[in-house]
Amino acid sequence: MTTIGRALKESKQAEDPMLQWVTFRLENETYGVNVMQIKEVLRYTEIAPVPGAPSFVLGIIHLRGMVVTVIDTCQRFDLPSGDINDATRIMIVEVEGHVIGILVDSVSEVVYLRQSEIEATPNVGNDESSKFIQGVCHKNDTLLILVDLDRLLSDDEWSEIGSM
Amino acid sequence: MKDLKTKDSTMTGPQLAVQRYLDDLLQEATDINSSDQIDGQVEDSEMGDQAQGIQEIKTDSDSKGIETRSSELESEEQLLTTEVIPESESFHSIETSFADFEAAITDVPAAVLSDSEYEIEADEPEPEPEVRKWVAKTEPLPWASGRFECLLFYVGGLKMAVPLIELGGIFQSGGEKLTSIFGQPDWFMGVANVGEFNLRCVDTARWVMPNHYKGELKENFKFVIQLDRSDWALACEEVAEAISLEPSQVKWRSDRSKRPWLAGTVIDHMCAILDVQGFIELLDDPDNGFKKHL
Repeated sequence: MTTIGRALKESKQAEDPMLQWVTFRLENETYGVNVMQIKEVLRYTEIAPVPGAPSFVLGIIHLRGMVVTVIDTCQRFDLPSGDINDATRIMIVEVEGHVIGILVDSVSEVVYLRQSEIEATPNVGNDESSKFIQGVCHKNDTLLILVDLDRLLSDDEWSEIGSM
Repeated sequence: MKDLKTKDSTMTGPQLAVQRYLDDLLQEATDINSSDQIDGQVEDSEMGDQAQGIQEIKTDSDSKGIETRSSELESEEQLLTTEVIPESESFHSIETSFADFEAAITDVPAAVLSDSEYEIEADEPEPEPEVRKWVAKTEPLPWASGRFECLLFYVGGLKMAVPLIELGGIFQSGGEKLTSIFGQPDWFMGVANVGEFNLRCVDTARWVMPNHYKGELKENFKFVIQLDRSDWALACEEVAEAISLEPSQVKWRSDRSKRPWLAGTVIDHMCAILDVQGFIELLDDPDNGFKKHL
C-alpha cells in the first residue's frame, strides 16, 4: 500500500471509528453498552436491600471492600423483572465518575461496530425511558439496542444514591 | 308488481353488521341529502354495471324492511326490497372477540331504520326517472384515477385492503423476528430488520379498533405489511388475495380528519381501504399521532 493509500485509510478510520460494545440480554432482547464504561462483570451475588432506597435501586453489594449500588435495570427500562438464574450477571459500570452495578439476564459478547453502522432509534413515543437508548444496530441477524449509560440516572437520582 | 332484491337482501346478518361498521367508519357529513343516503344503502357494483338509478327507499311501518324502487324499470314499477334481519335473530351467532364489531352489530337495526331520513312516503309524487351511474361521494385518491388493485389482509376479523401501488412488501413477523424496544407506546410492536429497512411494526388493531382492544391479538400477528417504502409496517394475522376495483366501487371517505388512515370502504368486499400516505403521516406525527387522534 502506498503512503497516500495508507493515509487515506487512516483518515477514513478516524472519521468513522470502530467502537466496542458489550452485549447483554434483558427480557429476550439484546442490548449493548460501550465497553469503555464496563469495569467488570460479576456472577449474581446476594444483593442487600437498603431501606428507604429509591425504587430503581435493588440494593448494595460488597466488591473487594467497596460498596456498590446495584440498579434494577428492568425497572429502569420499564420491563418486567426476569428470574435470577445461573446466567444472571451484575455488570459493574462507571458512569459520570460513579461506579454502579446493573443487573442483567446474561452477558453475551463484545461486538465491534463502526460509528456509521449505528442507526437512530426508531423512537415513536414520549416515554421517559426511551431516552436511555442511544441507537440501534443490526449485527449478526440481531438488532442491538445500544444503551446510553450516561442517561441512566438524572443528577437528582445520583444525589439520592449518594445520600443512601 | 315484480320484486327485485338488491345485494343487501342477500346479505347475512354478520355481513350487514360489517357493512354498518364500515359505514360508521366513513363518518359521512351530516348534510348529505336523503337520496345520497339511499345511494349509500344500496351501493353495489351491479348498480354501476346495470346503470340503474335508485330513486326511492321506503321504510315500512314496523321498521324491518326497506323497499327500494328502481327508476329504470319505471313502466313496471319494480320494487327493490332490502330486508334487514332483526338483531336478536341474526347477530348473536357471530363469534368474534372484536368488541367494535359487536358494538356495530348491536347498533344496527332500530336506530338506523327508524331514522326519519330514510322514510319517504309511499304516496309522494314519483320523481322523474333518471338513469345514471353510481357516483362516488368524494373524489378518489390520486392512485385510484382508474382501475386499481388492492391486497386484502385481516386484522382481528376485519378485512382491510392496501392498494398495491403503495404496498412496500409483505414479510413474516414471528415474535422472534421482532425486537421490542422499551419506552415505546403500546401500539408499537417493535422493529423488524428486513433487508435495508428496520421496519417499525405497528399493532394495527390499536389504530383501527381502539375502543375495546387491549392488545390480545399481538400473538396472532404473523405478517407485517410495509407501507409504501417507509419504515412503517402494519401487523396482520393473514394475508389474502389481491382484488381489482373500479374507483366507483369504493365509498371514498369525505372527511379524513378523524381517521386519516382510512381512504374508504368497499361494500362488495366488506373491507376498508387504507390511505397509506395518510397512515404514514399519522405515524410520523412527532406529537404522537396515536394519542392525538384516538
